[in-house]
Amino acid sequence: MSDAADELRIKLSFRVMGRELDPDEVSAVLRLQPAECHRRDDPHLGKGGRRYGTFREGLWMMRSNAPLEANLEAHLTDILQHLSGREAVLRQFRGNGLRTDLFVGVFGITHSCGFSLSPESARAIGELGLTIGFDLYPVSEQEISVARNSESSL
Amino acid sequence: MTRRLATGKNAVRRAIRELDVDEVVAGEAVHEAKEATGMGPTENIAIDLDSGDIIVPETGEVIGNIRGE
Repeated sequence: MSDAADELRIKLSFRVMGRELDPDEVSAVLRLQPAECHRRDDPHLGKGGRRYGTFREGLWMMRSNAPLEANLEAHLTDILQHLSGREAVLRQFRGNGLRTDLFVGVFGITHSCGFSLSPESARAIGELGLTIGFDLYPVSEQEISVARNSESSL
Repeated sequence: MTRRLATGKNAVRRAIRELDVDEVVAGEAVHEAKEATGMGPTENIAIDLDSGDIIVPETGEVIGNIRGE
């Protein structure tokens, strides 16, 4: 079934976080450029320019370049290739009080869907010492029903 | 004036319904707010049912808006 409401969309980011985080230092040590970064007390601006106060801690973040519709493994492969060989650096960050993780947003979840990790990705995440968190956003019953009715009327 | 807040696991769902906000826009706005502020997936947020502001319950800090503003 090609129901649009059944299609998962995934966003995956690698984050380094902490009160004393210096984004320039993280970029220099990782030899990577972030998609977004800020220091503690920097202004927190929304997409439309609204100011939400200041950030309570610093953050350095890069995102997967895989398409939103790609599966979890594609997103992980894209991010993990950048982090390969940087296990010691990430350990050093954590030793200095910073936190590191993979933060996964999953949108469009219906009753029967899921995703799996390959042994290679699971091993790489473990060796990098990264926490992986899944932030899940289900589709409401109403939206699923509307999508199915639209499909059946075609 | 007292804020009307949606809290707990159904906060986003309730706010979407009461404010008639697009589900995709709201979900992505909440995720991006948590992503940018270093929050984890299990950390709860509250949503102001009048403004759509995304709020950290423990501090009252506004970290985004479910309309993606």
